[in-house]
Amino acid sequence: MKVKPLVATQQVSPNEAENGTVMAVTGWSVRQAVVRYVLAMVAGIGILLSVAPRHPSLLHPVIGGLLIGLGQLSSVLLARKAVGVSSAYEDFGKLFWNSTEGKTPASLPESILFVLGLMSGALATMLSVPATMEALNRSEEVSLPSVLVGGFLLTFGARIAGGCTSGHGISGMATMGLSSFISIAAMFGTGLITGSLFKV
Amino acid sequence: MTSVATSLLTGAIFGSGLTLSGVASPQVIKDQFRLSDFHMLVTFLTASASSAALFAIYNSQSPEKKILARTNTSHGWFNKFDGNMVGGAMVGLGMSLTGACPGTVLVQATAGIGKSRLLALSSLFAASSG
Repeated sequence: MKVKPLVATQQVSPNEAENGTVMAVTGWSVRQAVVRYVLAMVAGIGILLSVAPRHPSLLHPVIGGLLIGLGQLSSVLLARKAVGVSSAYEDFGKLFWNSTEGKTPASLPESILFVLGLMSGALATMLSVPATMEALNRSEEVSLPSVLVGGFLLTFGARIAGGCTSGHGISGMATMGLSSFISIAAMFGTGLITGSLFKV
Repeated sequence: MTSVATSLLTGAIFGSGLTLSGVASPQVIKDQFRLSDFHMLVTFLTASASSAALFAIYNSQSPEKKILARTNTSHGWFNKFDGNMVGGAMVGLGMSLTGACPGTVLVQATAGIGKSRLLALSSLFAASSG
């Protein structure tokens, strides 16, 4: 299977990135686009909070969303980049193949360090707030074929799309990137169709 | 701060946000796609909207390195966004099958719930099969 060309190398020049944004298509300024996006999100959130069903025992989703936003803030201020997880999978793959050739890296890639931090932060949170562990445990069993096929779909899908729920969703749409809006529409569209058709 | 410490710290803050918000729970994701619980969507939209404001403010301070949009991924299948469409659809299908995304599977594997560690391994295996 020819896989290598699927790996999207993200060497973006500022011009290229600007061509693929909401601003380029609509002619809006960055300020106009961002203000409209935030207002649309606030309206959507307001409507969902008042009419849509929600699980009552979890942390309020607006607070949860702002806490994830805090992760974004720390990434922007400290690392000067947006959060994203799926590049760590690609870097892991490269690391793995390099190690089979006896090459050891001088240091771990930042993406993998970010993931190690993510898991440590998750562990510390589960230990200090037991309700988060209970929320995770309250889940139905996933079948073995779903696990094996699902893992492949998540990793390969994110590679082909150039990002995942975090990179394209939380970060990419926030940069007003068209590729991110399209990726997330495809992601949610497919999830909604399969979720309602098969009740998987 | 060194870049090692920075990456670890920002990862830790993001990871605790994911865990506290409850979106790492497979049931929450599955119930979102069945439209029986909108917890995940509201969390996700709040996180994206706050990030949008954050990026705009950060970029307006004219930093050396701006936060830029991701370019499209195309593999020459049918249009310039075909990679985004096909890849996004694959992730969506994977999410509805497993209740995990590439980020939250790591939180699940940390907790050790269900078959999450096997799922994390199969995701890593897929990453190495290129």
